[in-house]
Amino acid sequence: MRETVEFRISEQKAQRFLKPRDGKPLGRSTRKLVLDTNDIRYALVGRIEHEFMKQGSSFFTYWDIRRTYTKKELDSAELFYLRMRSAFEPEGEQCGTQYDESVACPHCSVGARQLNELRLDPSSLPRGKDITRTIAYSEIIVSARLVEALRAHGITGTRFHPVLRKNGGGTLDAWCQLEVTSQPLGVAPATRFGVSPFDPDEQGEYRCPLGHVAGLDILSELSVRREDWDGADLCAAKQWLGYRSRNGGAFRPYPMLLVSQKLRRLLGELKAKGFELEVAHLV
Amino acid sequence: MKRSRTWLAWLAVGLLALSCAAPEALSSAGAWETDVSSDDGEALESCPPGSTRPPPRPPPRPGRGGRKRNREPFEPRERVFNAEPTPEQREAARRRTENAAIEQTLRDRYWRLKVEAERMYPDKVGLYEEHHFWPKYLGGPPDGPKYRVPAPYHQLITNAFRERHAYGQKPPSEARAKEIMMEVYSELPIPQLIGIPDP
Repeated sequence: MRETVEFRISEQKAQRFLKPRDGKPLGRSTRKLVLDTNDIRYALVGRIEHEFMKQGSSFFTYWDIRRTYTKKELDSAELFYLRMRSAFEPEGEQCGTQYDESVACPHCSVGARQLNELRLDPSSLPRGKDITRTIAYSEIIVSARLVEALRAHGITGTRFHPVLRKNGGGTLDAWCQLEVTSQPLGVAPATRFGVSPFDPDEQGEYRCPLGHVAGLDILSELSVRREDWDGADLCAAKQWLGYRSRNGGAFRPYPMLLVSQKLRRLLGELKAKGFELEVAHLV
Repeated sequence: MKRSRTWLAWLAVGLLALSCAAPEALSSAGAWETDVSSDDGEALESCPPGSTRPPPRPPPRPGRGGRKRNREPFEPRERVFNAEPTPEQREAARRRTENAAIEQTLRDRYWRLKVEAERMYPDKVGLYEEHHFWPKYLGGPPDGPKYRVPAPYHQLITNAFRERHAYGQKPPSEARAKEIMMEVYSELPIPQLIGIPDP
């Protein structure tokens, strides 16, 4: 497994702390720096970020961990963490989807009940994707092509609901909302969560005290408890990620999805798009 | 002779003692009496019936707190407050000047970038779009403040945001979202916030 982290740093800060050959310019005034986690510069970025954090600021504005595996590693894995790479707006709530927040956790809002079908603006749906989500992150939709294939191959652990047009004006035939029906898998302690690779959120700002949300983002590979797995092809972890916007924004906590080797092969055959797979460990 | 002198001396002593005990009895006119018992020292005059009024006293000399009745019209006025600014007022004035200079720089930059944006996106020239101050994909509220900006310039702002945080990959922390907004708006200011009401 090779692990790289992409950082996006403003050109002004990059010129001050990095060499001109480090990274490449992205647009007008941002530099993109991709580093292997074994690279000495990765530790340097960490040290600079810690200095910025002491002043209540941050060195980089965006980070993203990517892991690549050998074919052997992929073939021998039992479960994979499905990391979604596509999103769109407006979210369901803006298009008439209703939620009952009274049953949700008062700390993290996990458990808010969707009261009606998911409603979306058809003009905003992405083209060429098979799995995507709204910028609320918890509203996941799957293309009709993929739904048909999943049903045909007897993929377990899923249920699909129709998606309606904005304000209830008919059904969107090309998309279905995904619901995971399998038993949720407990996250093993080996998994690390945090705000960024150098900020493990020691104060627990983004951690639910009742254990519903593990953190803002996942920093390591996902490890789940083997005894919780009922053999379903699509599962979700018990602990979620993200947070509910406190200012009336769209963000909601979202589940970490896991797929079996069988489903991974099917997705590969279909050349499904909109996601990446990482090896998940059963412990 | 010696006896008469002694008698006269005794008479003089008696008269002196009598005048000290009742001075009013020996006042020259016997008609005016002045009460100086008030605290402020201002004499309270009382005129007994049938007596003539003495000439009026001149007005009191102007002093500290007194009224200046006969002040010259061109005489400089008394300073009633300290006209020297306090250190805080001086600092505020310095900041106002600095802010005005920065605003002017940002206005110049806006007009330059607007022209540049129109060259880059000619299809959008003449169009206007609503820009969410806190973009929704960075966690901003849908009904948050919006500004009407020219569409080509809006495209530049959108690009700047997406360079700094890739669209829809993950929710940023609130602190990082604010950091991104600070960076973008210092580079691409919102026209209405730098004193350009009609961009």
